[in-house]
Amino acid sequence: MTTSAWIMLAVTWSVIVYFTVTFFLAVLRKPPRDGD
Amino acid sequence: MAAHQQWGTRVGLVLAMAGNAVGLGNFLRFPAQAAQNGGGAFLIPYLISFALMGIPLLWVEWAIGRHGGQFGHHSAPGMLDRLGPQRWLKYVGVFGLFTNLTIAAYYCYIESWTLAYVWHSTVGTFREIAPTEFFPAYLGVEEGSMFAVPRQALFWFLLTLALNLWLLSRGLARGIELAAKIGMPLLFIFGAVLAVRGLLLEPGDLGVVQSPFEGLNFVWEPQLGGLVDPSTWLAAAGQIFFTLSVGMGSIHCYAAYLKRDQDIALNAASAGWVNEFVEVILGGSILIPIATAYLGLEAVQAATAGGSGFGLGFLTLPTLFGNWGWFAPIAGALWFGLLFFAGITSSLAMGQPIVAFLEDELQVPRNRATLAFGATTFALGFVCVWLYPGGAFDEFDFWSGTFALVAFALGESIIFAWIFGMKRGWEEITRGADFAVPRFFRFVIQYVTPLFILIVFIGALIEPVGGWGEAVGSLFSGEGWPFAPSSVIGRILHIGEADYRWFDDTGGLTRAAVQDGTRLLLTLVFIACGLLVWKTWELKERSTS
Repeated sequence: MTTSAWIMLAVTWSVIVYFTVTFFLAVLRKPPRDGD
Repeated sequence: MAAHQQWGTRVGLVLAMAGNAVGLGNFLRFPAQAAQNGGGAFLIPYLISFALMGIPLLWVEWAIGRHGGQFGHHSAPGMLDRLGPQRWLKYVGVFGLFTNLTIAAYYCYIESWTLAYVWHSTVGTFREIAPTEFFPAYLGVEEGSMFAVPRQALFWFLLTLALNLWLLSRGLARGIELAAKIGMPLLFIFGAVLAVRGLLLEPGDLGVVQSPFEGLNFVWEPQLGGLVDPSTWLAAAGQIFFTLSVGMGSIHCYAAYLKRDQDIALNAASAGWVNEFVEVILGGSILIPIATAYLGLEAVQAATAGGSGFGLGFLTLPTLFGNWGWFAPIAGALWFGLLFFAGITSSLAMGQPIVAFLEDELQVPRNRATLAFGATTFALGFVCVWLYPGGAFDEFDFWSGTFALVAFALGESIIFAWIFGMKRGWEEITRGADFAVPRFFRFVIQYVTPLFILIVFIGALIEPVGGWGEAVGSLFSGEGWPFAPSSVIGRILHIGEADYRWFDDTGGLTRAAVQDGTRLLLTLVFIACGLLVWKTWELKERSTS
């Protein structure tokens, strides 16, 4: 793979993994409220 | 009754929403679209479209859904009706019935292929017969015929439909949520195993002609010229649109089972990003790298030229797995198993709004409502099965699965921002939010998202042959706008079909006749949904007056 393809892949994957994990963990951690 | 149902857990809701979004396109359409539209450069407009159109539209649909749910509506007509005093609003919601009903018909058919392929991979059918021979025979496609009654395909279609109906009849928590809680983790595991196995292939392994990383490079190499090409932006926005399952009414329906103060902002963002994870990271790392390893990059480029990896997924991959020795049947079962889980979590989301409409608005018991959905899906699905060779399936996919989604999303985004109003709309999105939604999105939802969808809509309507620059040049040089045969107008006018007629020389039906007949059927289904909504509201008004 070329360096530019690796950079594109690394940046995009990092952004996606960061937001997916952050939001999903937040969903798991937030205590259920009334009716949850 | 629908109003008494609720989600069992918050994670279950997010997984069900993510499962609704994750579909076959995540694994078959995305990698081909990325590779054909600028590779790594495609990802820039793709992620911008996700931020400016995808996520805002998710929030809008969750908000419309939760708002409508407070009034006992779990389907789009009632929800839209509650967004303003105008009587016509509920008719925009007709799209939310029409799309789910008609997409479910052909989507369950594709889903049934994946189930059949799990079986045939496991029992080793593809060692005996090449998938390129198996698939047309399975579908009953015969040279020159417009019709097919394939018994095996019908059997798997009925089995898949029955499974969907059984899960729907069990209700929200015990059916849909359970399927998502089982299906989504398995989908992740299956996808990860296949991606790792595929990327570990090396030249010198049995049948391998090239490194799979050449395929990954094909997907990720940024061709920056694509960034200034409007076609790349339209393709990226279109992909975001279809991957998130927006514009259908299914997200609204699921969100309608939330209580007034329960979070939607974090849940929607989480479900959206889970879909992106599956699409970009898993979807981008399986099909094209494995196919490149065995076929070489040139063959893969040719196979994905139309922007779809469908042929590679169903016709080529089962053969390539044959090189994996004892792991071959397992790999086939994993690949088609993950496609099946991606499919069923989406088709359940198409059934629920129809069942909910019958329950809420017509007081039909859940089991009967489920059966009614099943009967209609089977009847419409049979048209796709029977007239598959004539192109009925493609017509369903385009008019219901592409055009109607954009039309509905355009309508709902304008209604939400400009009729319901952004003051109430923003309050609705942020009420009970478990994270601070950046205020910048208020502006985006009001102006940018509707404009974005409008551009996608117009792009689909008048997509030209060749580039947009050339088309403008052609228009101003007096040669007219060169509508592509795949554009909405091109399809309506049958552009590019040299010999347009309904009957051939022997008096048999032509493909054009099947296409026009299917369009007429879809129009009638839309009108029937509209009449049902009209009659339902008339009965309600009569009973309250």
